Formats: sequence, C-alpha cells, structure tokens
Amino acid sequence: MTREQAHQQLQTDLQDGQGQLVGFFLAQVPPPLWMFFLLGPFAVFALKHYHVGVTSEGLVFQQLTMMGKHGQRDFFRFDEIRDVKIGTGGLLQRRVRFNFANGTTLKMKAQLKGVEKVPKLTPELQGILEQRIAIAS
Amino acid sequence: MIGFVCVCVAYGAALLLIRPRPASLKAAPPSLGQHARTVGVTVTLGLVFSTVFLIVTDGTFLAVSEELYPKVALTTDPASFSPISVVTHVFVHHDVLHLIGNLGILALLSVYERRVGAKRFIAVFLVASLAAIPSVLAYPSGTAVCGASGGIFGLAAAYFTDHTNLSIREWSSALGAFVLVSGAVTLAAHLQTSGLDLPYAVDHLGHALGALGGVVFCRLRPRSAD
Repeated sequence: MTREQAHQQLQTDLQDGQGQLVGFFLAQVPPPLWMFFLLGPFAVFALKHYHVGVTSEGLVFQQLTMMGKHGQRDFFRFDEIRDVKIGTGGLLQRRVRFNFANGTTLKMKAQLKGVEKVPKLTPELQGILEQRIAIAS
Repeated sequence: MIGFVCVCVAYGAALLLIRPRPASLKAAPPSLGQHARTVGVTVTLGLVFSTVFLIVTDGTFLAVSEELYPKVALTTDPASFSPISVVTHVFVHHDVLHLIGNLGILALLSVYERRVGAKRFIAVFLVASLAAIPSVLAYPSGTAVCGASGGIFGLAAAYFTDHTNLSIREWSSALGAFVLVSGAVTLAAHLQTSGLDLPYAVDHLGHALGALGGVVFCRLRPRSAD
C-alpha cells in the first residue's frame, strides 16, 4: 500500500463526527522483551505496525496486517485519550506513549526518518498531539 | 507419567495464561474463559497428541512401542497396513522430541486459530493432514510415517497466506515468506538434531505436501471479509 493509498483509505474510512484527516504517521509497537526469551526469533511476528492518523477530532489507530494492508481500526476522540508522553530524543524513531481513558496504554515508536514513501511524525503532527492531548508527566 | 503431566501442564499453561491484548484498543482484555474459547482447538489438539503419545508409549512417554507402531503408523507395506492408520498416524508421534517439537509449533499457531476461529483452523489442519498422506508413497516399501507435522505445516502456511483481499502478488509474497521461515526452521532443526543418532528421518515431502494442502484449501475457499 502506497502512502497516497493509505492516506486515501484513512480519509475514506473516517465516519461522521471523526473530523478531517490532517496527517498520519507510521508507528511500531515492538514485542515485549520476555517474548524473545519464550519464543526466540518467532517473537518478531508479534511486532505491530500502525498508521496513526491525526484528525481534527481525534486519532485513528489503523493497524497494519503482515502484508501491509489496513486491518483493525480504532478511533479515539481527543477527550478519550487521557494523556500522551512523547519522547524528546530519537534519531529514526521517537517513543510515544498513549494512555487512554478506558485504561489501555499503547507504547509505540513513531517514525521520524525514512524514505519518501514512509509516513513520518512531522513537527506539525506532533504539535497537534501536544496541543489537543494532555501531556503526561 | 510425570513427563506427560509436565508436558500437558506446560502446554496448557503457556496457551491459557499468555493472553495477548485484543486486536481492538477499545476492547477489554478477555477473561480466562473467553481466551480459552479462542484457543480451544489448539489446546485440545495438543492434549490429544500428548494423551495418544502416552498410550502408544505404554506409559513411558519416551518412545513409541515397537509392537504398536506398525499398527498405528502409515505404511505401504501390505502386511502391516491397516485402513485405520490413515487416521491414527496423524495423532501418533515417534518419540518425545518429535512430540515436543510439534507441540511447540502448534502452540505458536494458536494465533492463527484466534484469527480465523476454531472451524477453519480444524478444517485447514485436517485438509493439510490428508494432503500429506501421499508422501508415504515416495519412500521404500515398509517405511512408516507418523506425526502431525503435515497438518501443522499446513496451518503455518495458512497463517501466512490466509488473508482476505490479497492480490496474486501479495499472496505470492506471503507464500515466499512462509517458504523462507519454514526453510529456516527446518534447517535449524536439522542442525540441532544432526548430532543425535535418531532412528528415523524427517518427512520433508510430507511437510511440503501438508503446506501445499493448506495453501490450496485457503485459496480455493477464502475467508469472508470481516
């Protein structure tokens, strides 16, 4: 799936009340370390990829399948996200932690650098996250 | 007997206690009962394999009984062949190493059952097991084959290729990924066991036919899109 196709599909899948898509970035959720001790190299299959879409009303977490296609999709309004913590470092990726109001926590690594086709976490998108969501201490 | 208990407890505990987060971020984590239902076939199959192994090893849980083996394994030897062995050979394993290897891979493939459900999981397993049967014809008369590896390779192949709305190119990529991973696993297993003096050889043809059966079944009977 190309970047343009992903953008188009994210925009198309937005429902009423979910706003307009401002941008999106690629993020990885790595498998927990203990899984490597249990499964060995098979733990890499537990790696998850998301296209995180930022809209005017909230965030879309579009999980990617092993084939890079869109799979499970969840939309959270900004008020359904309790807080976010965005790392300050990172050369290629930046750690981002979302705490949702339903008690779920999502730790991911947002892509900062990459080839043209990779959707990245731009300063604009990061600014929107910091403005619209409470920053975790 | 203690080996049987240890294997069953470890297998069941690993499958039931390791509960992955639901796919949806909005879904509540499943209870133990809900999770158990999503991996029910995997748990049951593993326990069946272990129980059958306990029986065919006369309770030693080490290696299959020499008397029972010809009756339950699949062979082309007319003197030893019995029709029931077409079914029984899938559930019999030659030794504890064979059993544990298959249980380990089966446990990993519980993710496939969680994805597609119990019915499709068991269907793929059965079709792949049937597809692996002709491999016995490739070996000299008197050679016996046993084990669930054909069905398990079919499940593994289906894990990679059984997705909805895949183009031919994407499906080919998925198939290539499976070939790569299964080749690496096969090579690793071969390297690990090459120093052991095992009284049997691996039925690579059966593995390949089982994988082919799983792939073809999933292609001919695709899942409906969610």
